[in-house]
Amino acid sequence: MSLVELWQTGIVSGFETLYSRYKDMVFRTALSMTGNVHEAEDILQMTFIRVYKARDKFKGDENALKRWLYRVTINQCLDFHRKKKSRSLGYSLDRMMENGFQPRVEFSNSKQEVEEMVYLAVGCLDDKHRSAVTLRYFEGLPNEEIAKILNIPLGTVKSRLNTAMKMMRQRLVKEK
Amino acid sequence: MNCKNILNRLLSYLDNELAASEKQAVEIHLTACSTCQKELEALTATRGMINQTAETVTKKTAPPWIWFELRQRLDQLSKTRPGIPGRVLSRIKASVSGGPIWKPAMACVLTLIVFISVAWLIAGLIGPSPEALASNIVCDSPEVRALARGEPQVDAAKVSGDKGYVLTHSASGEANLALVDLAKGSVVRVFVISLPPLTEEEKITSGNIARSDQNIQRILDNGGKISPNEMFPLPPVLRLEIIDGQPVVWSEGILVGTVLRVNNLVWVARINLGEGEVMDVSMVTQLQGHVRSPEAEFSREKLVEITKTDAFVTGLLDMGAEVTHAGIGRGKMANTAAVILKLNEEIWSVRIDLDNQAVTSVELIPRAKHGKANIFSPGLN
Repeated sequence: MSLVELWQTGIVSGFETLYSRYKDMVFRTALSMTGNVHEAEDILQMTFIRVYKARDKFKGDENALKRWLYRVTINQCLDFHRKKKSRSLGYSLDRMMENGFQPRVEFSNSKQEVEEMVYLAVGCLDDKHRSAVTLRYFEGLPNEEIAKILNIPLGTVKSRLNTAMKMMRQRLVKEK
Repeated sequence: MNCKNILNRLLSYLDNELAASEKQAVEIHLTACSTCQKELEALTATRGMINQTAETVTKKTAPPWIWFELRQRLDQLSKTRPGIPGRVLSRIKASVSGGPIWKPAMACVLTLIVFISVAWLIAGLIGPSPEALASNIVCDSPEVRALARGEPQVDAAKVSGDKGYVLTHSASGEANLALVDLAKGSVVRVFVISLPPLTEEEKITSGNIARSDQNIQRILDNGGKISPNEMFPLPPVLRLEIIDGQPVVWSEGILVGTVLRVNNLVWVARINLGEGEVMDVSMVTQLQGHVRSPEAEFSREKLVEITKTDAFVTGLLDMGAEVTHAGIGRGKMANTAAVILKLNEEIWSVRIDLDNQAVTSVELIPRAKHGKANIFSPGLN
């Protein structure tokens, strides 16, 4: 019996197997999208509650399930931020820069500092660019797969990644 | 190609996604254009920073306690949405209302007969389940029997590969988690599950709940007393799950145990603070005289005396360790005893070979870590 069939029988172990297999993927995606562990934990739960509720409605194989899980996770992240109303991430980076924070091109910063800067830069992107960056650079998915997940043409994926990288480069790398 | 065209292709160039001819064109342009070169350097640095962060993210895993919170939320959801039994029932109801009543009734009886026959056949063929086997091994262990002050009660047993995890509690409600090596048929380690101490307010509320119970009132009428000093937190509803091969014990609500004494008799009442009621009152056999097993009878003093032949145990006792429990194994372990010592917050188990009347091992019993949302995880490797 496939994972999808096992899950759709409704037995607890089916859902548990699905959770075990994809919990880290969902958690990582949420963490890349939000840059916040606690938010990622909440989104992980909300995503699997959606999955639980949609058991009877889902149609497709495991590849389709995986794509759908990415889509649900991303939508949950976007909803989460919409509900929070203010996008505190972008605001903090701008305020940090106003207060004299200067991003550098050299890797003299500590590992943690670099990661915080990257999370902030990702957080400054708008929803569609952030989703593309998360799937491409954090989840390592090919552009074709991203196009299917986000339901957009391949060319749009490439142009979103291009724009996102330029925006992030502006924030992360100081001109020499 | 001009700079604008090149800049639009730099990311694809970095990702090695350009056709050979385009790649060559970009490289030719880069050798002559310092602006585009700088842009490539900046993009490379950006990608480096993103890759570094992505590498850290890749190593992150979902915390194990999420599953418990999720299960809790799903349980609440399923109360408002019929689960499998509800659906099966509604299907049976539908078929009953739609046709002659004897047809579904006969189908149910036949299904039941087939189910019972299959279960009986399977039980006869495969013998006890690994969970039952693990539970038996744990109930025979001298340490677990010592900590339980007699017969341990099994709350849950789970098996993962050749490892078994069995959650037990004693008559007075203290919980232990035992790790079993199923291949060897022995207990590898025992963990004591400790809870944070009760607040003064919780003690006062527990006292009031206890006094309102008829059984406790009878004990109080016969000279029993409720003392806040003899109230302790108990692991309430305990669940055991294996997450990523690690045992995690999950508890819900707050239970309080209170000791009631009349002369030499001791009772322990279990109080559910959330529900505001006394769950049960049971008499506890005190370990004063002899420690019994079907094959051997040893006095507690005799066991303590044997432990003193070991230099390490003598050291512990000199440092102020107290003997808190003693017990003898059962079945295959009937020739083994365990004496439990407490030194400050440390709990030590001394194993005794009863045939040779000698100490065979002295081990520290770990306390399970108390994590978020009342999760206890021993953190086994």
